[in-house]
Amino acid sequence: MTSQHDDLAALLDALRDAESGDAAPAHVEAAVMRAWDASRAAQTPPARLSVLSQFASVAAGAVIAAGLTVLGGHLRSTTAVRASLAAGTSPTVILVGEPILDGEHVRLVRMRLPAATLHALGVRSTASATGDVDVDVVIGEDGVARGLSLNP
Amino acid sequence: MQDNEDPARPAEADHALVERTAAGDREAFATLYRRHQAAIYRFARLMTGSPTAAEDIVQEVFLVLMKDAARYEAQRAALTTYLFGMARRITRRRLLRERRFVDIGSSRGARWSVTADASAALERRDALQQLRCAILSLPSRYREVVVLCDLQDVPYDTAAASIGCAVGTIRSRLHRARRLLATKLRRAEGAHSVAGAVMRCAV
Repeated sequence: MTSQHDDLAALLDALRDAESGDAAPAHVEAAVMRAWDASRAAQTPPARLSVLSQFASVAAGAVIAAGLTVLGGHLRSTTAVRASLAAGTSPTVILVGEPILDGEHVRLVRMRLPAATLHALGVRSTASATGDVDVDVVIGEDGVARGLSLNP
Repeated sequence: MQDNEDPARPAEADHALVERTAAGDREAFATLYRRHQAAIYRFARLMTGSPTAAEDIVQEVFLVLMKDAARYEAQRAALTTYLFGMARRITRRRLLRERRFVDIGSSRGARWSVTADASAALERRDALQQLRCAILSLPSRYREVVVLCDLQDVPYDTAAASIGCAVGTIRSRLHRARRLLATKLRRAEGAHSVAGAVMRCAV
């Protein structure tokens, strides 16, 4: 029994020595530090808008509008619409595409659209086609919209 | 548990680095990562048998530390204890979720072609691989004490605090784990030709 115990102890020592130099690969550190940078960037208070950034915001709005158009077509042809599209007053959440990864740096763009525009796209989340709807669009790191929240 | 630090500078205490991390100091967080990642990685790899899973677990542990650094209380536990405890919880959750099947066929099934002068080294590699497989087949409550105490040199009291049990429990589990390991290795020695390509990793 003692011999067996000694053999096992020697084997455990050998395994400890064999493993002792191993560490997580460099790409893990890179991913962790990217997550750190993304988390800090998200906490940075927004600076005052410069003319350039205002222009960029307008451009981004245009891109979002175009994206919504494409998205509308997508929604009509897929079953990705998770929420009830019936009229109501609670926010309607629509998820599309890939899920957001843990630690992914996403942007939230809030805009106001005529309800008629959404109706035309096939998103009938409001009781009527008149008036405006507040829309929150979640955009992933790759610039693709991942979800919409419609607040009638 | 220290890796990749400048030997010319005195090492800053973990708790001070955690405080700086909580205050948003990137360099402090990077130092903590470099100091502790290897031990967490080895623990996770030995517990799961998968380098990929171990990488994910390391990442998850440090993301939690990044978010919860302000909640760490140095007077309650050393950072090592805190990190091993977190790694253990994440690993167990992952094992329970995935009910991992560990492929041991690629290393055990393929008997290396042995040349005379290399046979001793290969036999040693074979023995270590058998030991890894035997450790993976232990129930996790036994596996974790072997990995922590026998393979990572973690003191019994630190292991007890990480696992959340008494030091006496660590001792008894370790005793039982070693007996189980010895039995499994003896059986493996007698059944070298068993083509068990897939072995369930006990949770």
